Amino acid sequence: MAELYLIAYIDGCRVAINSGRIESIVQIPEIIFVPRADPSIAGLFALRSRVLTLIDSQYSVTGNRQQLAKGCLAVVVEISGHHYGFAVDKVEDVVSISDEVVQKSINPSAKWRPIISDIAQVGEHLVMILDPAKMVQCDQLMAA
Amino acid sequence: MDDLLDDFIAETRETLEALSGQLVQWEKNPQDRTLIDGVFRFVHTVKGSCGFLDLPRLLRLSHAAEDVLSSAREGQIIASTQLVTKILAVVDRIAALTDALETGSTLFDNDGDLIEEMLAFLPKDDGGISQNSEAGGVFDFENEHSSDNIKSKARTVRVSLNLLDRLMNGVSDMVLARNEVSRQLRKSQAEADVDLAFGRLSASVAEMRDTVGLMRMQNIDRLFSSLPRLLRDISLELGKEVDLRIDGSEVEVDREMVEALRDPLTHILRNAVDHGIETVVERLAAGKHPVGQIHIVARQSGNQILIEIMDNGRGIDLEQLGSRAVTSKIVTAAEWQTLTEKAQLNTIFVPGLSTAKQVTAISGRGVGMDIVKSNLQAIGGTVDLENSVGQGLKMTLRLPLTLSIIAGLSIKAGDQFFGVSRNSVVEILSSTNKNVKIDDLGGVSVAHIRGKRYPYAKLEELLGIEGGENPVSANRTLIVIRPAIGRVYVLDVESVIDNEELVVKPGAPIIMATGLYAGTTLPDNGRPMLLLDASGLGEAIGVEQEPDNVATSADETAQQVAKRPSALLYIATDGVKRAIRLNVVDRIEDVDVADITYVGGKMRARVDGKLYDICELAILPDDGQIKLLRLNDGQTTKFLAVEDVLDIFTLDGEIYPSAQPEIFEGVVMTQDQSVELINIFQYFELQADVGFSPKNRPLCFIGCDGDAEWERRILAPLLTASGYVVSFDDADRNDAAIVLCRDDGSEDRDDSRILHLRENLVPSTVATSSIYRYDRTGLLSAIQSKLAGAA
Repeated sequence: MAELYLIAYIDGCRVAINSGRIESIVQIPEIIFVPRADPSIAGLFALRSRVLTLIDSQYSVTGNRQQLAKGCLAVVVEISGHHYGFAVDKVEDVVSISDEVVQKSINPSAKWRPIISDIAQVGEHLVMILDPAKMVQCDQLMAA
Repeated sequence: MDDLLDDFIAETRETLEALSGQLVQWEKNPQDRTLIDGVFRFVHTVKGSCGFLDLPRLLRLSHAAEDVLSSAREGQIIASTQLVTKILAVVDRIAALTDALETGSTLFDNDGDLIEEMLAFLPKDDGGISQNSEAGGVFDFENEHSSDNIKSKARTVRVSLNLLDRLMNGVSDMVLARNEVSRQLRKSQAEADVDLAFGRLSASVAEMRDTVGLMRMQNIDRLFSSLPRLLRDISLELGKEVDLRIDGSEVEVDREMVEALRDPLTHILRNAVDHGIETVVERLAAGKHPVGQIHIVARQSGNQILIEIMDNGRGIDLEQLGSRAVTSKIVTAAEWQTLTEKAQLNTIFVPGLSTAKQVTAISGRGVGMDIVKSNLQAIGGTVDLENSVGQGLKMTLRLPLTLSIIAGLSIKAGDQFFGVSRNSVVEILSSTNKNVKIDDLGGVSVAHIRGKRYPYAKLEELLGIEGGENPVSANRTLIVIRPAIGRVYVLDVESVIDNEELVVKPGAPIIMATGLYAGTTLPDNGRPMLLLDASGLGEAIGVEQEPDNVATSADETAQQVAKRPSALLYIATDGVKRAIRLNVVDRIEDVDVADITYVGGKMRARVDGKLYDICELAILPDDGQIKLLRLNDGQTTKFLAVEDVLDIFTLDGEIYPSAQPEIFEGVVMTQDQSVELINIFQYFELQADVGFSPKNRPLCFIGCDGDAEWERRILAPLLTASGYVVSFDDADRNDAAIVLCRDDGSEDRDDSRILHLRENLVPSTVATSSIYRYDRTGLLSAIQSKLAGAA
């Protein structure tokens, strides 16, 4: 069964995010910093009447914080009742990925492994499928 | 079909709760037809729907229950405790099956046992079970079902919570958008027409927000309806008879509050029956009605919901509680002695303590009351105890009206804004206040406020944000915070911005993991704000996480011992700054000049229908108000006129002696100035009558013949003003302490009470003890020495 995936760029890398989980893609308004929180949290931002948590996706991969400013792009995903925005460099396209093109034989690199569920072939290129829920699991981050 | 099933599940669940309450009532009033009719109707509806939806197990259960209830309706069997227990067991099974239906799980099938136990109550000659169930299975349920539904009262629609939340979010969006439009309109200075139209839009948006807010509200009856059943089960198990009275079921609370309260109320009720209510024998011995009473009252008071749970049991035995607390190592015996009664009572909320003599299935394991407290704290509520030993216990739960809106303060630290719940804020002070001192003890700081010590931290440093060490704005704000858990501490912030209602939303788990935040909120300006968690911050400062009740009360006692006297700094009517000891000042009052008059040689103020002396008020302005300090020495009240009141400070410095000790107690230093500390005795010693209360004024009898013009006009007022009661009535002569007469003293010479007054300045040769009648001082001192001699 094929599903639709959004192709986005994080830390210059192409990743695919299941579009079924994506609520919207927004330009972030003002970011409110959250002191003493996990470094992967870039801050809070308001989307209509909701307060969303902005995740510095690049930090989750590289361990280096990114300078995120007003106007940058975020993919809004709901994970167990809370809404998050995942900062991305840019979004490209929506593609259909079926189970058959998932490449079980290829492992992602160590820094990506914790947040990647699969690697699939899209057209002529390989793309990593991102599992956003893994980026906001507290215990995983504590361990990291 | 799925929709039908969902409806069935929701409907059944809703009625089940009310049903058990009705069954319990029926047990008490077996003759009440309406009750049994109600129960019967419900079971019948369930049966009908089950047949329709093809749910064989539910059908069997409800059918059997219907059989029993119908013969009860016809009077063939009488409601008994055992019968109701069995019916309740079947009702419980129906509830369990309904849940299982929704979640798709399975439930062990021993329905047959339950049914047989229940049917055993049926009269033997009443047809076979199998025959009945056959007949019921093909019942014309369609007809019956619809006829039952006709009698629905209030028209309601079932809406999923999810949809409701979306609606609320939508309305909140509208409010934000409205605020934005309003800003733009102000900027562009639109025409009056536009303003008018916008005003209308704005009003309807506001109304809509309120209405949607109401949709979250729910009758507290939803919570209370399950209590009669619960109480019945507990009291049956414990063999105690308890009557439950519930008032205020119509109070509306937030939907989520109902769920949050369920556990605490259950625990409280269990405890009340198990520990509070005595056995019948004990109750009779104590002269009480054999049936215990538990009374639950809910009411709304301002923006709080109060739930009171009163029982007329034995109350809490503090001595027993104390020995428990000591054996459980919660406090030492010495500490226990120093605790106030309230603090002693509050130890029942400490985990691991129980007053039960033995562990029962219901309570006594030392869990329960601590859960009550922590559950209540989680939703921003508090619990108070009122104990009367032998008479019962009253618990008062105070809850915020809604879970989602709190009264908050917005504060600034660094360049960020934070919210903090106003409930936990004790006091807000300026850091330049002279009563505040902050000591740095190598990383740990302690704030002294009016002689009390508190842990202290700068919010910027605590949160690791910039601006904390910036000395540019020297005037910062200190907030004294009393968290729900832990000790009072002082938070140093840049400033307090505003006092507003904050709509709290839970933060993402990854943010809550910091332990510093209670949630997020979106104020009207549209910028998200973090809500600080008072307890979490306290923990971050390093405030000891002792059980708060023990800690604070021990603290309070220690502070009371160490408490230094305070003084009030004021500007006296002559424009000089002076200080007066605070403990004689009741309060500050502004009194209208119209109520102040110069009578009887003194300035007097009329307050609450009484006249009081005013000290230090020489000139009375034509109108306006005079600031007065109400002084009280325990018996007498006087007022001290002041120009203005400046500050309160502690008298911890030296008091330097004064040259006029009768007017000034000494000189003290405050705010780097030396001021005179008023000697308060001068105001109270001014008048002699202060010593006499009207009851024990000595009685003076004035014996005289004729018109006694002088006695009545001159002598009597003088004596009255000096604090004596005067009588001219011969009947009072025997009771009088002093007898005065203006003659030569020939009669009653042996009466020691008699004081003779003579006409001439020079003593006559005859009289031994006589006083010239215009010698005021001599007369008064003679009366006094006579009184002293008599005493």
